Amino acid sequence: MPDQPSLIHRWSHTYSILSTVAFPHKKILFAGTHDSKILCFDLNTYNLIKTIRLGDSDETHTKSSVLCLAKSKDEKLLFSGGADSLVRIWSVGDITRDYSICVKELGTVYSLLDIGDIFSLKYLDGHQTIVFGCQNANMLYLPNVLDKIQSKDSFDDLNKLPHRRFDKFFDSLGPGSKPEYSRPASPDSVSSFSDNVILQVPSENIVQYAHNGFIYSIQQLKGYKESLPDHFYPFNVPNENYEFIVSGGGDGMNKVWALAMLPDSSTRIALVSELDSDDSVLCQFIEYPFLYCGLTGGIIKIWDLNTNELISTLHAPDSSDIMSLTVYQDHIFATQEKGITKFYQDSIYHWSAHERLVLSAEILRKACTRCKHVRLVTGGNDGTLALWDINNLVEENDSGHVFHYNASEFEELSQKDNGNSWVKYQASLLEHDNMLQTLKELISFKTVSARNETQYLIDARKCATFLQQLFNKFGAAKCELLAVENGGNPLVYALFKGNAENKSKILWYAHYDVISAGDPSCWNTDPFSLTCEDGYLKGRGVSDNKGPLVAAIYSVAELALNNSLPNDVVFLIEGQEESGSDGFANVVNQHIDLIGRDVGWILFSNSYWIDREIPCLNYGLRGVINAKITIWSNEPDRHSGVDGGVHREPTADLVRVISKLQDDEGNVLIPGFYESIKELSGKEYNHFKEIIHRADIDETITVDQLIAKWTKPSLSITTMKVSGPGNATVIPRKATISISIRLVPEQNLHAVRKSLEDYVQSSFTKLKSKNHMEIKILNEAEPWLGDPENLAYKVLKEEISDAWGIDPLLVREGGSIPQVRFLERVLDAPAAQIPCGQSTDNAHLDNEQLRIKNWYRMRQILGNVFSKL
Amino acid sequence: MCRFLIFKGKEPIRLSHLLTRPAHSIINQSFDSRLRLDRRRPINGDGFGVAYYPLDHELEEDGPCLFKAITPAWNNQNLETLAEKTKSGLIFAHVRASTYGVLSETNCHPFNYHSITFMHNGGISNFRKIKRRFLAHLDDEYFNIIQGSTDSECAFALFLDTLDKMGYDTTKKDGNFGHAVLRRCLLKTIDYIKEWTNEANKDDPKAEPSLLNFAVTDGSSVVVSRYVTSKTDEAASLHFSCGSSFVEYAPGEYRMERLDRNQDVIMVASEPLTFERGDWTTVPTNSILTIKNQTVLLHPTQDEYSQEDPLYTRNSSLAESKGLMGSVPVSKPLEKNVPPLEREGRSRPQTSVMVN
Repeated sequence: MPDQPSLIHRWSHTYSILSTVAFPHKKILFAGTHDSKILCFDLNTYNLIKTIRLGDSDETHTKSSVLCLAKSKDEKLLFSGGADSLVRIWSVGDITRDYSICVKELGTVYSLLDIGDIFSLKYLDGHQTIVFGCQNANMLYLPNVLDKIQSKDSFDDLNKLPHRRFDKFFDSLGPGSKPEYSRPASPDSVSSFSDNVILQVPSENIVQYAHNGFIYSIQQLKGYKESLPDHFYPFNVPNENYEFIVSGGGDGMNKVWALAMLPDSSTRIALVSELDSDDSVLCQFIEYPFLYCGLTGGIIKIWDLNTNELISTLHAPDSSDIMSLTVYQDHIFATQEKGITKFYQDSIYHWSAHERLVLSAEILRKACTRCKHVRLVTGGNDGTLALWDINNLVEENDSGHVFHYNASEFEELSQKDNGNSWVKYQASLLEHDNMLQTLKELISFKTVSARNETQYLIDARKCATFLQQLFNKFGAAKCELLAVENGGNPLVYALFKGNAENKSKILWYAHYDVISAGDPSCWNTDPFSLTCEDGYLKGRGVSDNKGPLVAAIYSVAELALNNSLPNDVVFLIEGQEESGSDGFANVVNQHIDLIGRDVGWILFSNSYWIDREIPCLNYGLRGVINAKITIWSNEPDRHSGVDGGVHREPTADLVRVISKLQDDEGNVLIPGFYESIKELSGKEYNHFKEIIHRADIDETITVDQLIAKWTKPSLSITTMKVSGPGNATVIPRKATISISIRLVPEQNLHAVRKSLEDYVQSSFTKLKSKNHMEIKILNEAEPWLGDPENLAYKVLKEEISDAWGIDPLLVREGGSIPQVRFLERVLDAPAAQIPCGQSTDNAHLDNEQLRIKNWYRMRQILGNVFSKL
Repeated sequence: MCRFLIFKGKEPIRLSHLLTRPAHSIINQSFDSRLRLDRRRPINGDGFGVAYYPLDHELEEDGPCLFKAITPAWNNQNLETLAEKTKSGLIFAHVRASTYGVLSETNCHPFNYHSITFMHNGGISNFRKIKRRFLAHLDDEYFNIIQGSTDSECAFALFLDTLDKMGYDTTKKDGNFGHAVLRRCLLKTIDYIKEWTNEANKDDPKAEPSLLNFAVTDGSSVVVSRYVTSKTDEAASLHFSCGSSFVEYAPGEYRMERLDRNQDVIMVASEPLTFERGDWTTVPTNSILTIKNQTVLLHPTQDEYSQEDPLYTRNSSLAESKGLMGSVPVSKPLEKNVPPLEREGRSRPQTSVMVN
């Protein structure tokens, strides 16, 4: 039994997903919903890029399910049909650089008949014909649709529009009320029609009682090579003027229809063949000569359309109705209540895919999407849409026994797929899906560095080794794990050699350790298994810092494998960043020759945008000193009633000492703290004003607050702890307060630390207490200020603007990254930081996430930066 | 101006969800009929009846429970409580405005014989002229089941007689004649009536056509006709709706929920029960709707009254004058931007404007 296919991505919507159609060349997936919407997903970034609402937004009575979707072969047109008895025609543009897409309603097709729901819909490219099957058992078609739209072959008099007459029919006639007749068309309603051509299906294009039940399915018969039986051509026109469709209905019939384009460019239709499946036909799939039909009761029948013979009847293990059906190289995927059943030769495989009924399924073929894997899209009435990797299901015993009847599309496919050259292998290595797989593995390592549990230590080593293998696979010139003193997680070093003559060397700094996931029950997904949902990557470390790291590795790997990497690129990936980069400085100093003294630039991505929309570049980080001050006495914990008033108490001493750190306004009293601070330049002040103006951040944030956060030092009292049971009557023998001081570039870390230690010591000495005091520095980091005018920032700015179509915001940050300034100094090279995710990334918090779009863009931007610097 | 309603569900439904609670249930339709044109008889006040097939195995055999009364349906305490406390998966309900026959319980629809239940919305043209011939055609067994005085009950007896003559045992306890048999039998019944009235009306070119919306079930399948013996007139109104469930989204306000394409709930009614325009589809004039298990089938009745052109607009003044034309009620204005949809037949036809 193969493993359950892996879920690549799941999107959720509140309402049932009733229909799907993929535009594989455009990499778009459309989904029709129960609440009158067409959702439009980008299959590259897995983002919802557009939601089309049918009808006017102010209308309350348009709860019309979108029951079927269809497309033109060139993927320029989308068709939708549903419970509102209308077929709508949409033009579909390409996904633009800013990930939007233009979908415009070109026309609306209606019938004067009450046709009820439209269950099935197909577009025949040859005749520009829309064919749709309805609830009242009629099949309607409309040829030359595009010509009709282009010639604006619409109604002359807007007052004759059906909806004008329609109003009076549907007016409420409650007791005693007078019916309201024909209201004149308001100018508003007139204008709303100006772009949308209204087309009526004329009498001659209505096939009454095409079935004796609801017409659930219409498929186009393709892939035959002039080999259809003679009776399929009933009209006196050349064979190439024919198109064929197969319809299936609630009456259990499959019917083959011939549509012929006559010389006068009118179209005629004739029934040419009938196959009785007994039970209601809910769905069909054609791979000529085979017609697969899904029936009620979990039955699938396979017919030979050439000979009208029933070849096989399959029974799903579960007798719930077959709601949709798709076939890939003889593998039949049938969706039912809760799950998907796959039939192949004599084997049946079932997996549960959705909470409830699975309503639609469609295969994304490799040849169309240029993706290495065959994927399956399913939509369910639990309101979710899922994308599955079914490669392992369809290729396990792919032993040449494959029918390639479907003409050119399949031949192309087989040729493309058969070659297994090094070039192909490389290309597949570099695919986004491969990158996703790599990140998935990285996330699965629980590389929590701040905790000394064996599991975490082992995982960190595994992760480092995994990275080493990855670098080797991508052709790194060198890759080593550098041991860190005291058994810390090793540093991963890798070097990619550039091929340019005057190459520079760029160092990418990142970390593979993560902060603890906290309480897993607070997460919506498993923190250590990468989940892709609604266009986001979710899991601990996706944003901080594994996601950006993988993007950087792939951007360099792509250049390296294509032999187009001009510069040397060094990766320095540490495993202790989240616990103060223990031992990092020493290792770097030890291996300075390995890293090389010729590093030109240091790049890293360890923060995120300040809002959700505008990309950022970061050029400043504050430094930090975290310290713990403890005061204790030699006596044990005591009782305030028994001993109160007798002794100098450690808590009181501590409060006095701490109180000396700040004045009543909160200014820091550590001597010399503010001495070196310079006023913010007018230029930077204006720059900050612009940030406030452009960024979509909390409106209450003022320029002064930004200045304080990014450019002013601060002192915060963070934790307070006392010994004893914590009872209000107990005098603790020991009290501890932690403080966190944020430093800015003008300050000297060592000077501030010394001054702090001396000042606290002297404050305590002045108390003349018998208690003891200790001040312990927990960790420290130097502040960093990059030069936003230098070449690195210039190139980064250009590439970001280019990729996102927006100029990035140049920002600073209140937080700290310990090793940036250290690296700058020791390597004598300037650093630049390019944030990857959005302000909503939740790094360090529950439900950490990273938008896939940002991730892909990051890879693209970095690729260019690594070649241009 | 009668109204009828048929429910068939995969899951049983409480009768009240169909009969008493919906703002536009047939009970409420009987005094708030959306059609104001039947000046003679503005309300369906001549009694009502409900037939529902029991769920209990022990009670399942030999037909439904039948509850009829001659009081106005909206004023019947028993119906209120009964509907609240009864569930069924197959329900026939009818409210009556008498067109023929006196006010009596025996004249109330639905009619029942063993497993078979029958009701009628409409009228047989010039019934007085053909009644003798009609009754003479029946075997004693079926002649004798007629207790009331309506054309509808006679039509039922004719249906049973026809089924018997087709070779089926009408007293079969479990019904289950099959949808095709019921459909064939109903077509034959219609044919007899057509033949006799045509003969009787030979000398009377202005004679009104017969309006023959019949509904019949054997407890498993349901067959409903929408039929008029005219090429130009519209038949009495008939609509159907199907979906995954029938839900009350606000007190008295119902909607057919359609989360998928399943037909777990199927309803056929003279007038729509909900305000949702998309919920209901018109049964085409001169066709037969069949409910086979939980699937709706539609068959045309092809004869001299069929119209070739699917868009031919039949004249609905006849059906309207008899109060047999319902319309779709709408609570709020509909979407303006989406044009189309002129739903013939489920609406007030053009001609009705002239009546006022």
